[in-house]
Amino acid sequence: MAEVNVQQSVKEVLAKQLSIDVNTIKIDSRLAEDLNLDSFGAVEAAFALEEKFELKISDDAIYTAKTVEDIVKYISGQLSQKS
Amino acid sequence: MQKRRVVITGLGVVACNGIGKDKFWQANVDGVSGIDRITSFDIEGFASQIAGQIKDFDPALYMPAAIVGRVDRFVHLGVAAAQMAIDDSRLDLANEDKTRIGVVIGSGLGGSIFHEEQMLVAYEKGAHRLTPLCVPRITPNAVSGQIAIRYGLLGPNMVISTACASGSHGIGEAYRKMQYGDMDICVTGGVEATLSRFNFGGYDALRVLSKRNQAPKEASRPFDKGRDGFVLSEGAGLVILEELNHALKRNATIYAELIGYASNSGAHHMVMPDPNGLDAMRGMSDAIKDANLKPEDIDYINAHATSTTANDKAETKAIKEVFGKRAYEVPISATKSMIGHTIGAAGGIEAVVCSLAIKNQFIPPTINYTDKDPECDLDYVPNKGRNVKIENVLSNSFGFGNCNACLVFSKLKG
Repeated sequence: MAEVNVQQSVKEVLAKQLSIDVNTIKIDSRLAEDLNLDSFGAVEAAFALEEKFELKISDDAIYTAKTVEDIVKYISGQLSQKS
Repeated sequence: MQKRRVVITGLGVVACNGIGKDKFWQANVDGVSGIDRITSFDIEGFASQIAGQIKDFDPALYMPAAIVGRVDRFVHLGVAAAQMAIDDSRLDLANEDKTRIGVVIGSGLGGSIFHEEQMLVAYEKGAHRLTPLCVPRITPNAVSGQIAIRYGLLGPNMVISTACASGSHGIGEAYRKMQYGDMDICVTGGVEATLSRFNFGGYDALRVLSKRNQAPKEASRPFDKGRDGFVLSEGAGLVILEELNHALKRNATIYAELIGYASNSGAHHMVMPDPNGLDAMRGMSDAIKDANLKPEDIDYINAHATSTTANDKAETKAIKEVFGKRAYEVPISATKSMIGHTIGAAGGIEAVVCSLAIKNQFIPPTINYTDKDPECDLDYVPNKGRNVKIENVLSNSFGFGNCNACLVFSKLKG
């Protein structure tokens, strides 16, 4: 999957998790500071991403991601390893 | 020590026959039932297929969307009722000492709908798919916690769970705390979300629910000879309790004064009431005594009256024992005939009814009363409400496990 599609999917999952408009989420949005995503929300968003991309996201990855871009890079990396 | 006086200055209610105190009260005055066929989950296989489901409720009107998705339905109902009660009280929370404001809520089941969802996740998708929000969403005190967080209320905070009496126990225990000075204001009452396949199924398996599926609005018929069980409902009824002088100082609207409370156990059976109604009798007598009244001073009884054969008979017997000849004169009504049985919310919703009955000097009816049961032969205000002079009201709540709570409300006296 091209990184641009991953980016859109990540934004959509976060928007749903946070009950906010997808257009307010930017690639450089900071998860905690800009989007108010707390650790519970991060875990639930990770579940949704795991189902969407059929992969496993480690707890470490969940807690170290600081921006939307960090999540997109992690998922793209996992996907390229799979293929 | 002189106990402090406690009044009711705000009402919030979410019920199947009306959301908000005005719509809810009008439905009670008009004898409107909120019972219908269940649509919120698959009812395949159950003997009872009707409930008091709240169909036009949007939690997003009462809390941020981000919270809506993170709490169980019982918290949706509770936070909505709390918002309504606080608005109705016209309390200016920004200028109150929040360490003196508590939240004491009754709930029999807590976040059991979400519990059920996550059980399925654990078994079907695997343990690693359980959300970290499991515990904070399921725990019964999620509702008192969320209300406190939302408004920054720093006083005593707890949930009391005594099945069908939870709401009255919540109000009664909050009342005691306020009488003794533990807090000046309390958001209190009952909250319950009962309608999911597992929850509903549990009550259906107990064989206590009405099977009048073809005529849902006629199914809850307390004291009527044809009653065949209760109708399970969801809802929330919260009141603002306020220390009298605090309320007078800010010119608050005072619906009623809470003047008596008693709680006890029948120690008889987990589901059946004591057939002689001894515990119910003691509860009513003790609450009336606590209010410094005599049975003849009670002008209206809001009965527990679930519409089961055993409860309504035992309660009638207990009323006769406590009230003697007066039992045949005092109007008694069963508002569960319209609302169904909201379990832990019932005492809270009925406290809203009693407050409005005193405010409006009007007794809502027991609807669906058509055939007299020789063992239930009192004045149940059948089918049509009544304008009467009301000074003092007794509200009964009798829970599974014989957990009982009785409250006495009064028109504010000088």
